[in-house]
Amino acid sequence: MTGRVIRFPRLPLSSESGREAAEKVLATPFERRYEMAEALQLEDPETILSLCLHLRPKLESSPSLVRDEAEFLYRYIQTPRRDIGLFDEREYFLGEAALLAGTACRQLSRRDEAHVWFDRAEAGFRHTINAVADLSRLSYQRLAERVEERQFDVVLEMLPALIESFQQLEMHDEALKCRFLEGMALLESDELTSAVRVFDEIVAEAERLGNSRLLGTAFATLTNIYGMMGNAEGALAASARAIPVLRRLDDRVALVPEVPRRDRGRVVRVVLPDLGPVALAVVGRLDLASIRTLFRMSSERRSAVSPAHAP
Amino acid sequence: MWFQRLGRRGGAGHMPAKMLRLSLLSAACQYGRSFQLWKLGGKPSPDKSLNDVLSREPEEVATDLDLRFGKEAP
Repeated sequence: MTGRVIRFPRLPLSSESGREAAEKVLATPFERRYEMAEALQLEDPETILSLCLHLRPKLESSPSLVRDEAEFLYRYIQTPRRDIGLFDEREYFLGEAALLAGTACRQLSRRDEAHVWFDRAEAGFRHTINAVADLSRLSYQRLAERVEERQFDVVLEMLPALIESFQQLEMHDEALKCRFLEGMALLESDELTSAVRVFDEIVAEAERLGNSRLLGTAFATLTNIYGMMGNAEGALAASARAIPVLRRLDDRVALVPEVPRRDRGRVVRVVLPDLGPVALAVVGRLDLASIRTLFRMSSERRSAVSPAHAP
Repeated sequence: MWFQRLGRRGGAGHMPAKMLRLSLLSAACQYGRSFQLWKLGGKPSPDKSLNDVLSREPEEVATDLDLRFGKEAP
């Protein structure tokens, strides 16, 4: 008969102290963190959890920062091996840091790097208690990456099983995000009528769940689809509902319109609330993610990109 | 402390109650098993039912308990 006797580590930080410790870590340059690790309480699970929770909301607005911080965290926990927290926490933190880094790489269109980070996330999550929820979040990111790689058939084939998993786990927001991927895959496949149907269903579900972010983004996407269909009335109605929601959320990135394939390669003039007109040179096969990355960069600098050049 | 952090994994509201319950049962089973094995010091227990439980994976025992609670819930 075998069994692992669980050790009891020193008293951990409280949640509040963990948040304060995380702020100190983030304010410390990477190269100084190793020598200051004890003072920074960098091995405390509360500090690491707070770092993860702090970084997650910054994925859209500051993916470079998230990537660098998540990579630091992953490397710190991994090598030399540090026994952090209780039970499965070390493996969870490795998985979460890798998922954050991979998602940030996806936002930055660093696709090869994203694939490697997603593999690392899987290796971590596989050893956690009830890994299915975290592995499902990882599957969502992998499918989102495939949307950006234009593998729409694969995405549409794999999505129903993932949606079912999220529904069984009662993770309704995540299930709705999957519907969003379905809509994007249909949109990019030029199946515009089906895409409208999916986004209408997303709007209804997002209203039911009270998820303003998905609601605003769904309206913004409907605006673009109606625009691509030449349905000005539908586009105006959807944008009238999108703008107040996105303004409340201060989300300007979601308002960057999808550019129909026929217009790619031309300079497209985009009007953004509060920023005025921005000219983006949409070159060659530049996709929506890249356009948003350009816009994010311009937004961070608080100046327009005019005009951008081919990568 | 572990469970309190478990509830905050992945951001607010990420982990549904159903998963939290199963995770808590898994952790309790793992702790309970470790404790009993330590008490027995490598010898089998005179209680056959305890030996049967200890011979199973803690996750498996937790899943069975969770299913039983699910059936008993109104």
